[in-house]
Amino acid sequence: MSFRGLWSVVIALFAVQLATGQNSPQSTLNVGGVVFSRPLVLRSDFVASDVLRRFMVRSKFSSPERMARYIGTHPGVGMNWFGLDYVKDCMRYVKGELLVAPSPKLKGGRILEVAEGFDRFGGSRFPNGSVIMTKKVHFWEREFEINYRQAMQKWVSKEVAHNPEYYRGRYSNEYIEKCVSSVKNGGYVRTNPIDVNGVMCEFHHCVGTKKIEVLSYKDHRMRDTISSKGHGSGSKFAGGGDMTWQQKPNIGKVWSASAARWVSAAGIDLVLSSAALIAAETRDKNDYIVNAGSVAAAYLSATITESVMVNAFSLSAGTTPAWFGSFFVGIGGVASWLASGVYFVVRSAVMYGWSEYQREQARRVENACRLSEQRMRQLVFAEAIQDNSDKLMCLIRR
Amino acid sequence: MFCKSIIFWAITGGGVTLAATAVTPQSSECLIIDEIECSLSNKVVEVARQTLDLRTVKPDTNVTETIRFVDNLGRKLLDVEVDDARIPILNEKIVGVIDALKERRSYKYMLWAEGTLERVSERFRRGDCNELQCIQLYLALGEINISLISENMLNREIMSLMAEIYDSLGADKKVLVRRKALSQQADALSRVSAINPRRTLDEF
Repeated sequence: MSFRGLWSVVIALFAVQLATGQNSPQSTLNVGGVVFSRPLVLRSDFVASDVLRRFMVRSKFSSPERMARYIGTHPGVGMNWFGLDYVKDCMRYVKGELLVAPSPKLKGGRILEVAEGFDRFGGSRFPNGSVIMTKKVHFWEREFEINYRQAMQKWVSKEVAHNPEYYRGRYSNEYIEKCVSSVKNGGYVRTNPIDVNGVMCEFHHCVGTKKIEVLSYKDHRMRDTISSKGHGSGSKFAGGGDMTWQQKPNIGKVWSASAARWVSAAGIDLVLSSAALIAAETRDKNDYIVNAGSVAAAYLSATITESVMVNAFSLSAGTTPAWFGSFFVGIGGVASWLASGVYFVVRSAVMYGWSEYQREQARRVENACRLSEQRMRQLVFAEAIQDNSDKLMCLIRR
Repeated sequence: MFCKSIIFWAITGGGVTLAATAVTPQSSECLIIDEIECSLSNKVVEVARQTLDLRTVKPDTNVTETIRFVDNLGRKLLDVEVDDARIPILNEKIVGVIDALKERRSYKYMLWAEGTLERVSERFRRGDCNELQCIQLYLALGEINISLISENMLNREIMSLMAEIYDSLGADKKVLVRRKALSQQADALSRVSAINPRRTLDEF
């Protein structure tokens, strides 16, 4: 690749980074048709570092969802202030694997407590009162599982303590009494709910990585039983009713985000490379067509590669559109790196093929010219020799 | 009576015979001129009828020998001391023939160069030459003295093909080629017979 080409690639990457690094987090999140948003209220006892405070102020996060969305789409940025598990959560949140915006955790593991309700059970709540439970995958950290269980126990305790009559007949009286007394004392029952038959309920969780599923429990009063439907260990919440399984891989969301990033990258690449062609006073329209075609082919290849990778290995998703971008933000998903590589390989391959084709054409033309010249020379020589023979004969006959 | 007749025959017929066959200096010079003219015609016709083909032409000194031959005829003509009107014409003819033959020799050289170029180009562009074969091809082209070629296109073709072959060689082989080309050049300058001498016009 020539220096000019390399330079335009560098500029393109820089521009791509600039263009795609400015994705502002959305203020609302639409999940299954339910739109929710909540202001982020930091607790008074939260002491954020100056850097983090500046980051928060600058980013104008007004909700954990916005923050999670931003961090999830900029994991490299998030890694500077937050712990890896939080960044991972955010990435999963962005991909739709996690319907609840996670609580921000600092690098030391300290949780940034946010608005009331947000940390009730480590999850979130829709404005209409629906409870969203997060799924668990087998590679999820043990810590999360403990936190999740504790959060659920805390939340159910409070819920039962506030509405003891409602849950009577569903949970055992002993459990209900415990809840009421514990909550009154500012604590919670540190066991799972026990139903009227004395059976301890299990909070539902899925095990497995292949099937990305999200549990949604519609009734905030937990009237309904979560049926396992063959996934994981099943759930034994007290009471009847049914649990709605929602398969939300959010592939469309991932694809659209990926496609948008690559569209902007390819667009900038196309503009800059076309400008370079114009600057080089290229007059052949085929050059422009092939350039645009190579950008389109590279774009498609990169998008498909990234989507396939993200589908297969969800944590491989990143936000950096190119390896050069990762230089700025410090981290990029493997899928993004691979897609970036595919982009440039395809782009370079098409352009290389085109230049080789042109070279071959020029070689053919040159060869044809050479043969023509050769034939012409031979004709000239033959004629000159014939003239010479005639001249000799003429001299003799004179 | 018979003896008288014999003597008479001897005096009349025999005398006539003797007078006719006697070689005077003037007549012998004329014979030489005739001979020169005849030889010149024969040689020139022979050369003029000779076909020069791209594939068969080679340095065989044929034209050069003819030039020398004609030149010798010219020298012989200079030695003729008789005052004959044909001599200046013949002299002029010889000069013209020599010029034409030199021109022919030059064409023959270029035709040979063209044939060599075609052969080497065809072989090289087939793409199956190893480096040693490439060196041979390079040296084959090196036999052509491009300063003797007045055809610019041919000149350029030879030089570009030589450059192409040279570029296709590895660094070590390039050194070898340079050394051989240098010795070729030195041989050409010193006129010492060399393994791959640069061809001169005298060889055609």
